[in-house]
Amino acid sequence: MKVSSSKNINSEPGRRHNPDEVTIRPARFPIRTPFRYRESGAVPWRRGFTVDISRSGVLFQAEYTIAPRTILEMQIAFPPEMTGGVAASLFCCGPVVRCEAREAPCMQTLLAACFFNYRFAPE
Amino acid sequence: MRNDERIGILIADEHAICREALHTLFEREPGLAIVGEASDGQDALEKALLLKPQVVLLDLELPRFSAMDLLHRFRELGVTAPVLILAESMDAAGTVEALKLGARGVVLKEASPQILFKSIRTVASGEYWIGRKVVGDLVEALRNGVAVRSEQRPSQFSLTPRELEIIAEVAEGCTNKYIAEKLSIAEQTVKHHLTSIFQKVGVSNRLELAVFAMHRRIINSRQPVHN
Repeated sequence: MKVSSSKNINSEPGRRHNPDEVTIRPARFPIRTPFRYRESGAVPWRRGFTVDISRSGVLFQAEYTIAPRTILEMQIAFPPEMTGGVAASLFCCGPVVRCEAREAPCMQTLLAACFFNYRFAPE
Repeated sequence: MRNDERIGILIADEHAICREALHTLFEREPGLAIVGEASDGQDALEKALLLKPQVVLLDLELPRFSAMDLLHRFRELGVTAPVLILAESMDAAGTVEALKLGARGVVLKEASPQILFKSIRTVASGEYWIGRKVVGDLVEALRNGVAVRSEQRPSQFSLTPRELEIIAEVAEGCTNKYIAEKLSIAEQTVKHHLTSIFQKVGVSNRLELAVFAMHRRIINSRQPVHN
């Protein structure tokens, strides 16, 4: 099975903000694709869609709010039309860093999560 | 004319000869001054943030970050200086993409110095600059309401056919070892290719590469275009 080994992403060390320093954040790519997530250790997967993805995390639409710092297992689907070949999935793990619950009429919850690690797997 | 009345321009071009030529041109033109120069996308990004030029003149083909990716990063980081793309050629699809990403105009290298000066003044005043030849194609593209795909898109990052193949395999979740076996090359060669790819498109790991490639449709552009 062609599975990449799990990659650990070094989180940026915390440091005091120096106003003279220029901090470059990872680029965010606005990609909408099916997304599954669950709290680490929970059984049922929940469904959503990504809003944007960077090398360090993902912003996604979700059905429910989840408290920040909750560790999630995540699966991002890359269908064949996106990969130019076979379907693939990105499995990630990391904490929720932000939650925005929207009011009616859109009733949409946006969650942002960081990646502690990731691995690719073709489906 | 006082210095503060001149339009400050940041030029970004990989080639020193081109930057020098632009220096010579602008020295002779009242009202325009080069306030900084950059040789790659990362340098251009940092100098745009630090120097706050009034116009950024960006060569389309830049190492580290391409001009298109740089436009995206400018927007993320709040760089508000109008950006004028300088290109050898650009079709309607590329122009639409550049404008969508925040560029204020495109000027071709075949244009005269007077056109270049005029385009800089135009975007500095808050307007847009697009060549007359492209306007018709642009209107057509907008009427069709589709994202026009440029078949030349991979060339904006100077990606070779082999590199495109490797990107597609990475996006499918393949390991370096598998890619090497599939393409009948050494695993070390795959790693060298990935290093080159990372540098060309300005990403730092496989995840970012795959996401970047899907977002920019680099992988799909390998496919033949069906009418």
